Amino acid sequence: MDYAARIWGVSLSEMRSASRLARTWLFVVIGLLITVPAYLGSAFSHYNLGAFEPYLSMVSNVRYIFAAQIGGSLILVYSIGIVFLAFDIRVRDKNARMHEVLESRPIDNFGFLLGRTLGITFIALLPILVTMFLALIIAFATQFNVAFQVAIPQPHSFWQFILIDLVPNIFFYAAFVVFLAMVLRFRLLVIIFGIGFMVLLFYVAALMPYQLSDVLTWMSVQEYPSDVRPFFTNTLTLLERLAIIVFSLGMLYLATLAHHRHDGYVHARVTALGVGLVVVGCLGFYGVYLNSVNEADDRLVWTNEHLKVDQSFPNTSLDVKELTGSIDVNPGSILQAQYSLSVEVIDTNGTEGLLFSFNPAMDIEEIRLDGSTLQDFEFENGLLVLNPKTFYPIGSKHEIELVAEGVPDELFQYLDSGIDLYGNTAFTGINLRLLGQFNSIFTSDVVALPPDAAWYPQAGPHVNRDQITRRPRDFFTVDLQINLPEDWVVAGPREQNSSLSQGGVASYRINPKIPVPSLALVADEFHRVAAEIEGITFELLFHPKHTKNLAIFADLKDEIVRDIEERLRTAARFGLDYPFSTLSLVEVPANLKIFGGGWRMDTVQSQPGILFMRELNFPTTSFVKQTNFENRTEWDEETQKEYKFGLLESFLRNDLLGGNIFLGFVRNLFVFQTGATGSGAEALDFTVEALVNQLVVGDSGFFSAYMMADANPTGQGTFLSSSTQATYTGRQAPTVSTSRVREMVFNTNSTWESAMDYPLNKLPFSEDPGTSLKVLEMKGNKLASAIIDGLGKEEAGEIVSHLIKQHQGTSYTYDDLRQISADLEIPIDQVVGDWLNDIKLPGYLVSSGSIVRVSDDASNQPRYQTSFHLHNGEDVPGVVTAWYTTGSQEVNSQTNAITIPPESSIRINLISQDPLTEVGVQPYLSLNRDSIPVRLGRKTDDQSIEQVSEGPRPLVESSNWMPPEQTGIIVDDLDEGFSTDNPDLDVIPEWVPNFVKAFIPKPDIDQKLPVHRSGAIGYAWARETTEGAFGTYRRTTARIDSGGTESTAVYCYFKTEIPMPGTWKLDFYLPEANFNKTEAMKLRKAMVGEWRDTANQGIYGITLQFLDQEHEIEFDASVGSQGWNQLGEFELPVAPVTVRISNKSDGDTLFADAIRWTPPAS
Amino acid sequence: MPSDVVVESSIEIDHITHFYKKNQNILEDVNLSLGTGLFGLLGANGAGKSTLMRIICTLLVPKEGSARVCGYDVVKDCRQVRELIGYLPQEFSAWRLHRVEEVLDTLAQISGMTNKKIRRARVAEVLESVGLDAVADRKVKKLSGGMVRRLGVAQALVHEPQVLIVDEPTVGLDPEERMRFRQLMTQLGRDRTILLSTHIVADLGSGVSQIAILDDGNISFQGEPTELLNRAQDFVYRIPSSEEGLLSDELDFEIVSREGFDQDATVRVVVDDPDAVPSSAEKVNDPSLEEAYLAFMAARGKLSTARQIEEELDAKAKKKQERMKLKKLR
Repeated sequence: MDYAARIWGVSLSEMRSASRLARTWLFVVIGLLITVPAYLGSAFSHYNLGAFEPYLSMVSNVRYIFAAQIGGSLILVYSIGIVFLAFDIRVRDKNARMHEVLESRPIDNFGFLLGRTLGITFIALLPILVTMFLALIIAFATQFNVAFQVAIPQPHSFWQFILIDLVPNIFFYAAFVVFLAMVLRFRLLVIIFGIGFMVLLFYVAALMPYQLSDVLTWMSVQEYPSDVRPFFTNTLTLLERLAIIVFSLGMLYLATLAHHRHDGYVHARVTALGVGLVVVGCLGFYGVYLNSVNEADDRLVWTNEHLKVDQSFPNTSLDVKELTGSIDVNPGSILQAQYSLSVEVIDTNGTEGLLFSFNPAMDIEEIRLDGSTLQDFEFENGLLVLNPKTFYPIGSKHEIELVAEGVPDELFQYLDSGIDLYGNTAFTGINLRLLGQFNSIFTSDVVALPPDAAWYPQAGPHVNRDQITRRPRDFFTVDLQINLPEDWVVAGPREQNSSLSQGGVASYRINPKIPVPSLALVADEFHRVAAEIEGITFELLFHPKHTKNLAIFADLKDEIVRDIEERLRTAARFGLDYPFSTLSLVEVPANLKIFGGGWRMDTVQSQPGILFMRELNFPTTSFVKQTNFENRTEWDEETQKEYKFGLLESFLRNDLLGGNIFLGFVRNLFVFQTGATGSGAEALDFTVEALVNQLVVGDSGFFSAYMMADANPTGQGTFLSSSTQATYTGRQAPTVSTSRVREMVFNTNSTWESAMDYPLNKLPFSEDPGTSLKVLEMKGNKLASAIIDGLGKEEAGEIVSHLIKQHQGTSYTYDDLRQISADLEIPIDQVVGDWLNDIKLPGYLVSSGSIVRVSDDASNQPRYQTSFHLHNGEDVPGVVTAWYTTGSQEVNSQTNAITIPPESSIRINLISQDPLTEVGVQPYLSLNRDSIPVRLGRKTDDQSIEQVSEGPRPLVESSNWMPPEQTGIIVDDLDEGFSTDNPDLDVIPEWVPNFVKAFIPKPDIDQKLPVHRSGAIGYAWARETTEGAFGTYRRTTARIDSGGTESTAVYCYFKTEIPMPGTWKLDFYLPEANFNKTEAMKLRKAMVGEWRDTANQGIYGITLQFLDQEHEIEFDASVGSQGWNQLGEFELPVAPVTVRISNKSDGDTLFADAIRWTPPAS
Repeated sequence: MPSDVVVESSIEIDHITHFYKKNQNILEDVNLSLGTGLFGLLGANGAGKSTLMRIICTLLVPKEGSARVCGYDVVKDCRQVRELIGYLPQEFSAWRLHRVEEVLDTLAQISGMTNKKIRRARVAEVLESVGLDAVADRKVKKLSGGMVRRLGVAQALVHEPQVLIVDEPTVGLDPEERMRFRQLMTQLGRDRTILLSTHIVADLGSGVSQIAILDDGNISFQGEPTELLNRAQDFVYRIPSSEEGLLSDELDFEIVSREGFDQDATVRVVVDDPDAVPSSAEKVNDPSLEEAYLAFMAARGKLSTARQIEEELDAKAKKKQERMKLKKLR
């Protein structure tokens, strides 16, 4: 005690000294400036804008981000502060002429250093704690204020930060700096090493294995905390924190060796003690490391074993027909199950043994096969094989009874993740952390077991289940009794909403009336709100702490019921019925992982009869501000309700992280009833799901964890930009169009680049899932739209409903789909061709348009007919719409979908009351990629329009129009003959760390060239899509900013073979450039410090190369005209000829669009 | 205190030799034995006083020999020694941003006064004893030089050490403070050991029980003041000031003081060679301690050294005072 009191005395004096230093207060101010605005900014965003979009609500919800965001920043700031507080600790007393007085005092050197370290620790802790508690007070104080409320930080995370994270880490850093100050003679070195070590810590934290980042970094609250599944700390974290403290004490002991005062120590003993403590600390880290590595190793073993089995049995051998039994759930303690399974062997080759996946943490007590107790079974690594040496022929059916108990191990889930975080660095998963930490949860607070937890036996290995080409979804009927503690409610497709409470046990029966492909078990002491609509029980199961929003929207009950009825009717119109008698919208903890594994890494928030509602989503979003109408006195009650309903509807729809409940609901209408299989099944399944989504919801949703996988993903940026747009405060709640986000994220040139390489059925799902998903998302949705618009909604719906009728509880193939299409005489092929197997796409060319005034309508209103020809130059059919405007319209008008057969032309006639000013063709999916404008041959001069007496012609007529043929040999910038010697833009030097690389945006590539970005300085040839360029389906040009010298010039080449000798004329196509001074140019001015109008074209350095000859050609683009410009005539042999263009020019920008060789005979 | 150690002296220095550079001994075979009471350590600047004190205070490890404080070896038992001593170094300031009582409170706590109530009372008491009670709340940076020195004394006393070691304690003190300090030392020396080093012999006051003179790293004298005074007989003279010029150039002498005015004025001088003293000089039979010290040094042929050093010290002190004044002005 006496010793401790003396140390405390040193600490107090250190605190006094530090607290009176200006630099201490400087860091306090910096800490406040960094954290308080961030805190209040987040709180403001959440309170004012969070109600518009779940993503924004999630990232700004200070209840959940407080500890990680504010706490993390504070630790960072004060760790730097510690360096500047302690760097001069060695000489400070000497300068104050106190050192001899202090050193003659009866406290040993270690006590001195420890006291000082503690003093510095406390002086850093105090402002952090004050800031934290101040924020807490602000939060409490605003609770009754409608104008601005700040969410109260989640208590567990708050105390976890303070007690578990803050103290050990600050103490460690203080000890480290004191150590440096003792061993380094120069104070500047202390600062350099102190700051450098922090940078190193960041680097190491970014590179360390993902599974270690929870415990080996200074923040254990990197993920979202939860009220539903409160998480304070775990043994590993505590061990690591203890290791930090021991390690720090070891450092201090070693630092005493550098103390100049003789202290009666035996150096060897002190060294041994210091090194010992450091070693013990390291052993603690190592223990934590080992534990995590072992977990990862277990997982790796499981994965490898399951992959081996998957390779041995590439086809599904077993079909589970029925799963019955009872489960006693003792939350947080044990899950005891008695399962009965009916299975059938479906592998045509039969199978050796009956193979299942079952969570390896479950202990199997008894197995009975066909009524007899089975001794011959293996259960290892989650692989359960019954009678491994017995051959079971196809068609043999068996009854299996299994008694097991345990707590499912969450690490067994998602073994085959496309992005396996367990094999990656922490940085890789930095954004994925936002999507949840625990694969499944089985605690005394909540039970949330997604199907992939394998809490019930599942046929086949536990990998590659989403490779449905060979492993179709296994549909089975279910009748399970779930026994839970009293007051617990289980979510799910309860056919009879029967719950029985007896003897402190609540029992539920899960027995959907149709087979399901999977089953999730979610239970808690939920607050339940339910309504029966059209014979279906819709229930909300929320955590009792999160019912505030239910109260806010309680007055909308009638509107919500009407909306659900309407949606059910819409679905029924297409023959799509909700198949279960219950739909549970259940709140799941914020730290439950919401995405699955496999190549798809799809959302798991939609399960048969269950929709997961993430805690961070609706339950904890603040709707107070947006539903407070005190300042909108002009709105009557109906308007207010209308707004509230719109707000709710758009919020629920706007979830871009896979939590769109409308799309989740639609999965029950189709995906949970039947699934694709056979060649290209993954793409088939995706496209048909997109089709159903578009039919029922009118939009399609897509989520994959890949969207969040990059450090700086386009998706995230898009979410945020869409959120920014959600500040609209008019009468209608703003909507984030998932289609728009999809377009921005996926409809990129890079995606097109990949789409041109693979037909949908050959996409490399396993090898390159990220790219495959992008292509699938882009093409699948465009195809779905083309099918719906090309065939008509009712017709498309009919095909889908027949698919379900014929294949409910089983799978369908592409041929099945085509057969139904043929049987129903609704020809999909004629609209989109062989879309699954064929890589070919339609390509469109348009004529210029003409306008005539046709006879007036019945009410004597004038009518104008704008006509043009559209030619499909490829041998696949296509679907387009035509859009047009009269100039006075805000939104373009659009025709219905128009189908155009392969290699044919049609004439399109648009009728309008005013002459059209702009017309174009919008393809769904074509080689043109984007909209094709139609050139109108006149301006809007009403008088000059020819008037004809006849009436309007039909929208579509057949046509013999053919696009004019080009003469000569043309090499376009999109042709194979065009190339550049651009530097490799995608290569980042190897020494750049991965986490830095992740922040370097990858250039969007358009057919091998980077896409030109306005305002960017172009040091390489880039591709620009512009209507003024030459092209067939796409009008693009290559362009580059002038620059370079002879040695550094960047060239592009137009190469071709000259077929016959003679005098050939060479033309160069100069595209029409945008000569306006755009914002981009202003930006450029800011960047390069001078005004450089890209229109300033100068003399091009063009070289003609053939055989061994070179001819320099000078082309002055400033006097050239848009279109073909003659460069000269050249006597050429039969040989390869290259036209080389350098980026050296006295102008600013050079274009390389196309060249044309005209033969002598012409 | 080790049970097997029979303590006769509070401080026992046994053949201590110390050097910072080889072959340049600061202390050479120093032996010293101190009991209870005020012990004066005299010596010219550079004689090794501070080094010796720092060794006793456990701040330096002697190259040879040993030292014990209350039976504890200053090297092996340094922590126990620190429990027993209070030390005022020659150069003392304090944390400039701390308040006076905070400095004392911290040092008292570090020294083992862990009971807050007792500590507070002791801090108040010691502040009163050094006359700083009125400025207890004042920050150190606002104290005068004398006050800082007093604070130094206070910090050395605050934990009630058995052995007090003070190095040049009166530097910077005004005459009144010096007198008070002497009284305090006399008072404290009644029941503890005080080792006081100074080059101002007068500072030892009447309370000093033993004196040691350190010269070139050696103890050249250790004994009671009377013994030193006795040795000074024959070296201290009084001559009329009008005959001051008669002092021969060969004679090394030091004028210690002047008495009387005009024609009657006399000067007291310490000489190194009594035979060279003019006949008009009157031998002083009751030399002061300062005269005795100078006489001792003169006898060793070090008078000029002692004088020169004193002058240097005075010049340094003046310079320092001027710097402080300038600083304050700024």
